[in-house]
Amino acid sequence: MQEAQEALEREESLQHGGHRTLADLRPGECADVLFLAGTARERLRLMEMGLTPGVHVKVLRVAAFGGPLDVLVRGYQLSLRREEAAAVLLADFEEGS
Amino acid sequence: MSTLSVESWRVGTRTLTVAIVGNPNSGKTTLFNALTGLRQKVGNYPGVTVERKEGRVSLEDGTQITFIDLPGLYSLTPHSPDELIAREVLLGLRADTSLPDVVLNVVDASNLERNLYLSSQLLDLGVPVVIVLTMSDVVRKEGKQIDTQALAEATGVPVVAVVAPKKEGLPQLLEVLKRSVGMPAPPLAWEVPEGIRQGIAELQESLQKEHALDERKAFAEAVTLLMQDSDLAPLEKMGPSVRQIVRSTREQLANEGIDFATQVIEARYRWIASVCDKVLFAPKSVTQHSPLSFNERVDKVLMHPFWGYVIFFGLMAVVFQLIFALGQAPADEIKDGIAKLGGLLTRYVPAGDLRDLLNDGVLGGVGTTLSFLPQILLLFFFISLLEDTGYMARAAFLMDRLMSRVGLHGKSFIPLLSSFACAIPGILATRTIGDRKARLITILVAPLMSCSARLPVYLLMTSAFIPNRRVFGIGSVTLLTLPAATFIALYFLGMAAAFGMAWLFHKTLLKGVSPTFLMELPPYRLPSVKAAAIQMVERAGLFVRRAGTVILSVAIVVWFLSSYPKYPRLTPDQALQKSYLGQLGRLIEPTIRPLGFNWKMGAGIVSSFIAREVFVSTMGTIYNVADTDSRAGQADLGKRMQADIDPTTGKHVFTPLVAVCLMIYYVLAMQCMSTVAVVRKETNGWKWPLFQIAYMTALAWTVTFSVYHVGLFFGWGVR
Repeated sequence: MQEAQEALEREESLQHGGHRTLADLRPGECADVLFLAGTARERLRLMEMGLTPGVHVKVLRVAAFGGPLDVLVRGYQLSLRREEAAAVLLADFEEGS
Repeated sequence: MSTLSVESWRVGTRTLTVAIVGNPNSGKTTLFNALTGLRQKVGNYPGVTVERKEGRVSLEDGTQITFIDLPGLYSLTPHSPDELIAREVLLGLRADTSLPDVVLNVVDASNLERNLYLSSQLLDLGVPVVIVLTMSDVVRKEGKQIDTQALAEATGVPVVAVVAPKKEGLPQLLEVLKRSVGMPAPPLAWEVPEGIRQGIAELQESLQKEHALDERKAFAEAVTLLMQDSDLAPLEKMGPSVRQIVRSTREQLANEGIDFATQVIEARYRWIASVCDKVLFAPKSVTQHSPLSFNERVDKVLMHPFWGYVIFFGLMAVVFQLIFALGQAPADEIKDGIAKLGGLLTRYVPAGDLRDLLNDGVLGGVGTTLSFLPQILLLFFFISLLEDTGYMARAAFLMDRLMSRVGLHGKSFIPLLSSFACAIPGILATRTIGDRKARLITILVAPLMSCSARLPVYLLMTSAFIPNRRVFGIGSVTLLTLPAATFIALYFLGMAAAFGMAWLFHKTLLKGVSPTFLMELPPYRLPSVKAAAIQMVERAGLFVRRAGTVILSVAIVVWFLSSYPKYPRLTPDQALQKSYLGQLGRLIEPTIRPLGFNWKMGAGIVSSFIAREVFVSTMGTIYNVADTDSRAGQADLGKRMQADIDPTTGKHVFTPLVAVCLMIYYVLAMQCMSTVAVVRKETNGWKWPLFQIAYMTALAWTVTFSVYHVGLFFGWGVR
């Protein structure tokens, strides 16, 4: 029951327009976080680790074979899986430094 | 303002309780070690697998300070048992831990922004807080400056900068701690946004009335309860009116389109930004988004999509080679020592039951435990070193893709690798896996990796029954022989079974639990040999207590089973045949007959519940070979096993096919009582260890049965 509901919640929250997500960034690229999709619980974890709307992020590297991302956020390196990164929607895209 | 609990501050005895709270990798453990030295008590909080560390210090003026080292946390919002326990301790809700007089918040200066998130939550509680600033030397090296005085002003609590490894700042810290007891509550850090103020206030009031919480703790609890509807949130324990208010407030906020969690977290980070502005100064050349250049340069190599893996596997090869190479000599010494002790016993204790009990039961059990110890100590030492340097998180990053396919976590890799030495340190090492599902699956499959106790069984069976034929080679150089190929196949079988079962559990048993990987890649730091040594001793103590006691008791039981009833006039092999162990072997014979085994293997299987390697010495007794430790003895044992003819069928008891089946059974079956005991402790109940015994036995039986019958059908390895 709860599973189905969470899946629905995730689905709905991802409908918000065709924004780029953190998972779309290539190593070296930067962007600002617009908002977070996903269930309340998933959002909470990401935000508490510092991925709040408006924060600047930079993808440092991506592990081989579609593995996790290494992201610089609030001055530290955070690693998250591709599926987790896909829930982080980004504002307009800018070139990396 | 709030009423502070001062009961535990008794002036006469002057004891105070200090809780140490901080992010993982903030230097919290180093500080705890520096403060308490080796006067530490390590255990678990009852009912959960959260490590409980306590250290007591007596100061010169007679003050007794008890430091409670809480698990490393990024947040106090309950996501896992770690946060839940920390919360309960800090709110004074746990009967086993008194409410801390002071909260010592360890803050990593080189990672101020994220560290202050937890601080903002701690300041909610209204308990006196002292901030300990670590790594300020790192900040200076980066060319930045940090103003401790400004931090104290911005947070409203005392700030002490320390360099824990050099013990700098510790005396000042202790002074500040003593002075902080009974101080008024620090000011609330963040500004509560307008839209959610009303909801929090209502709930806070109800919590104060219904649960007798003071103003500030009620505030902190109100924020947490409104934050999320996690199954861990302590809402069920709350009174009816509190639950009612939580529900109605959530509904109202949803109607207004306000996301409570976003509001709170953003407000906290706004406060953090204002604090950082006041205390952290970076010259223009050090911009916010130039990552630590040293770190970045190292990462470029160690996390390289190709060389990263080469280095990782190379490093693992070196570490495990070292573990086996360095562990061998002390293990042999220990075995010699035990043998000498046995000699002394034989000399001074009169022959009889007592001598046999001490010699075969007690010394056997202690010896088995101790002979594993050198390897396990080394394993813990290296794991802790890798952890301290920050490399472990990188290894998890590299391995995560592979591991996540079967529902495991990047951090599952090292525990599984460690299980090649022994499943127990492997299972204890799963504590670093944050995701509960991934941790449980890792624990469930870890014993399938071929541990070093299986090695003697493989060696005995391959050398006796697998012909030393060439499988592969170039010209006259043989590169792979059949026994070697068999060895490799056995190791791969274990790995394949582990990954296959992990995948199966991921898809069936534990389906639906969403996995998380979110993990910090901490900056590289020089490891502390002292910290690694402390951790090694702690974990090794855990091994001796948990595994050692089980091994000892199983050894005594097996000794009893194999020596009674007494038949003094029979030779040892005949006596064993009539003993309870022999009878037990016969009792289980019908269940292992279909696998091609007879009662002798049955007795071997039962006796190897001490540790799998005991199979060899049981075979030694059955076939009347005394010295199974030496090469000659083993060769002799092999010959006798080869020659053994079943009197009823007139056929050989052991054929190469039976030998292979026996080894497959040993790869897959749960044959180790100490692992069971450790799994029970680590999963906090009998459910998972019993499940593990059941699935592994079923797996072992089915696979062995299939191989045996397919083999018989095609006439493989039948003499």
